[in-house]
Amino acid sequence: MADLTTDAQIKAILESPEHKESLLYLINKLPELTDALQMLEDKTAFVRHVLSDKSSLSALADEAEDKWNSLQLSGEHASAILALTHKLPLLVESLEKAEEAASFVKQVVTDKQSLAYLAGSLKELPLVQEGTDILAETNLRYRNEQPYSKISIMRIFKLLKNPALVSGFRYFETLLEVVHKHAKNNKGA
Amino acid sequence: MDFTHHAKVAIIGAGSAGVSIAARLIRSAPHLKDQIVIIDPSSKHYYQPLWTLVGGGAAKLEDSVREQADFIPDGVNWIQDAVTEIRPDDNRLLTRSSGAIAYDYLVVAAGLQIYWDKVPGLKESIGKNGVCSNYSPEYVQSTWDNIRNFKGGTAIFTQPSTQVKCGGAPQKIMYLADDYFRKSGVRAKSRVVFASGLPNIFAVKRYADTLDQVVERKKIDTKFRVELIGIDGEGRKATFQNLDTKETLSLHYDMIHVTPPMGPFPFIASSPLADKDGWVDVDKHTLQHNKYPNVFGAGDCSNLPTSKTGAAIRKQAPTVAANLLSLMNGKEPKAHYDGYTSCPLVTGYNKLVLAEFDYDKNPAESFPIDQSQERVSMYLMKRNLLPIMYWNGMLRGLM
Repeated sequence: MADLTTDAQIKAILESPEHKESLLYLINKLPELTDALQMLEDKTAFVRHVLSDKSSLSALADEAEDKWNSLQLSGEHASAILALTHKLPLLVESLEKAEEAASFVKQVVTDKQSLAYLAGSLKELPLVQEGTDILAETNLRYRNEQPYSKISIMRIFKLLKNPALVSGFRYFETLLEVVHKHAKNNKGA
Repeated sequence: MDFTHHAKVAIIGAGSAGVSIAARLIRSAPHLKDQIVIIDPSSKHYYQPLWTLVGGGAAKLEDSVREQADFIPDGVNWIQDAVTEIRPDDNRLLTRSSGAIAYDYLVVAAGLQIYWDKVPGLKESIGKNGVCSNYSPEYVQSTWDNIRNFKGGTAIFTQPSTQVKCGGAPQKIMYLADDYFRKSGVRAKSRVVFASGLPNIFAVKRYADTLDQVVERKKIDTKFRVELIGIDGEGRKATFQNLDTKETLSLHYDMIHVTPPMGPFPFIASSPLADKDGWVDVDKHTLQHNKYPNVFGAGDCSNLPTSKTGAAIRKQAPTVAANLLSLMNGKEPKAHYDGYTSCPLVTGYNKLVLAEFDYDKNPAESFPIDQSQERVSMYLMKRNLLPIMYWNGMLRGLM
């Protein structure tokens, strides 16, 4: 049997305008609240059914395990992932630099004016320039020479004394010696 | 005036600094697409470091110029106009004919102004009567014409006491001219004079030592602390004033290469952004404005106490871009510029001293060789590689 004092207190509270208003609101919202409760009940029931469906859970677990095993991951991999995570800031910095370098190369090779400038610059390099000058002068003198002028023995001897030719002969001689030595070593092996 | 534009970031100037910073911003924060505007009236973009070699006949002027439009980064809007007024208290810019621009953040990278008219007689004589200058695409060819047609006499090379773009450039052209005079056989009957408003040949001792030797070897007559104050083109007379004694001195010349006085643009000097000398007043490490935190400055227009060079801008641009993005994300600007600058001092055809140093004039050299020596390799790098790196690396925000 309820305590009379408590009943009176509840009655007094329910008669207050604020509580009357709240009750009215709840009664108005009752259909929506019921729907929400029903939905929650359905979800809970679904989870309960799934958890009790051992064959489905077992299939899922087997599939996940198979995939995990196929990765052949070991403790070393876990350590490597940790190490990699630690190095990520440095790696990102390096990757950014590599990306910038690749973008720069791409810019250069697609920039026709820069390529033309580089090609022009190469021709003006001192060594290339010197080589070009020598060839140009050689071609000019060769063209101006008498086409059928005789080549005497004396002329050949004179040519053989030319320091450039002597140096060339010596280089060729050394080259033959090195080739011979390597061929001999290969046979021995 | 009606506000016709609104930009998250407005950049004044599409020179080396403006374009590099825009490229870096859009690369690092693609979400800023179409929210960055760059304001510059010029339709051409010049690689000015090549002009020393153009004036010396070792490079072509056309290799130093490209279309500006080709270097405005994708996603950045270019307003081809000139800024006439900066109102940082209202976050507004006024332009000559495109109305006003309201901005959230501002980067001032306008470069500097050449004041041809500050030397009486210079404007009237430039390009004729033996008067030439490398400091304009219009006149740079006249330098080479004067050098190759020089038949002997007095050749004067000047440097003003004002700040100039690349402080070493006024003497580089002199060394090339001296080299050419020797090749053409007129050096023995010539006097080469270097008349500079500065107290020495170079501010960093390590490189000054080498340059003093070059000057001695080439038998160049140096006059320091003298300012060019007048040119009489027809009479071929240059007047200088000693900056210490105030005495004047007139010299006859057969050719004179003038490095004109330079200074800040009036629209910057008259704005609240300027320091007492008219340059954009920024923190020398973060490049953030000292009074307006949403404003940054870079390049020749800033009051950074370092030599005004493209190489300095190469290091300033990433600092501005990083600090601006930090500020947008509510973080402190932490990127730090140490005053790095570089001056490839051409000392002749195929010879160069690559000076690199910081705010404290400490060498900050890039290569594991003694860069204070004259080297062919460094000349080849300046002549052949640096332009490629500029067009394809620096302006694209890649280096």
